[in-house]
Amino acid sequence: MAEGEDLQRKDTRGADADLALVERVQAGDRRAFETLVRRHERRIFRTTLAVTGNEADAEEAMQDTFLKAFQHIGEFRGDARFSTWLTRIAINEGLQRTRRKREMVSLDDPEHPLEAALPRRTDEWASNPEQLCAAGEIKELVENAIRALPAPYRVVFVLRDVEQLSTEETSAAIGLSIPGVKSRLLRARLMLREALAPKFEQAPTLRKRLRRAGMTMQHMLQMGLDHIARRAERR
Amino acid sequence: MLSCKEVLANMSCYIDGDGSAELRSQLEKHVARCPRCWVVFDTTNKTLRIVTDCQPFEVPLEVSARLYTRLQGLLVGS
Repeated sequence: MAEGEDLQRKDTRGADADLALVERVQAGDRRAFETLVRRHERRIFRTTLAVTGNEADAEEAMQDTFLKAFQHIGEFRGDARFSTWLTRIAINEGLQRTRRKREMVSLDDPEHPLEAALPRRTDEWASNPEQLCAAGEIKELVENAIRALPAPYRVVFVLRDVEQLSTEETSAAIGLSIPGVKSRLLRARLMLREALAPKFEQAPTLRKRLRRAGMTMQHMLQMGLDHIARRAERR
Repeated sequence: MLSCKEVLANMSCYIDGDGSAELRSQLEKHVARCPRCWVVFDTTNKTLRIVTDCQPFEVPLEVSARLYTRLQGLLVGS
């Protein structure tokens, strides 16, 4: 909880600093815009990459995002956070680029039912899976797994779990309802977990397998008894 | 007790620290007894930790350099 509050305070300080810089740019200080670019360059690149799915388009969309933000900064009134306003421009720039290339990425794809994302791999992972392979190898594995997510899920995942935007900020940036953001995030997390599992799973020992089978049987029995008790109560 | 499907549907909520105390307690009870859901919770948490630690998709240096070159005219034109 304390960590969450720290993050929130840091986030608020960041938003205040952004607003002060925006006001300087609006007053004619163009150097302040460079500071804004430095502060948001990484987030905007990740956003345009999440939308377009490739580095070349992401780069162009990022450049156009900052150019457009500079041209329209006079219209920024602080109703939303600067970072949300900028992220929204980045998403539109990314989408426009895919439309121009007729690749037509849509962020409005129909929801996958939860059944489609149900976990299939359920073996335990090592307690410190990061130590199983080199940092570079993990990074490549994670980036490939995120790239492989369908665009509507990839964008939500990157904004929420990579950029650590709140559910509300993600909802405002994409123009998607809060339940929609939550539902896509759950599916994206499950899909990513499934993609990483083959690398980090550990074959269970016979003792572990037997213990787990025993626990599963006990759990199912308990669920069955609960069900019977609920039906009896209803009668 | 919640079913495995209900537990899964509320997993993100739990990970993000949302949900009522009642719901959180029900999820914890289920996960403590159900090995399958325990693995899904544990490995999803590990997935998120791995993603946070590895900081994916840094801006390549040359991409960053080209951005500042393109913005240069606009910045020094003041």
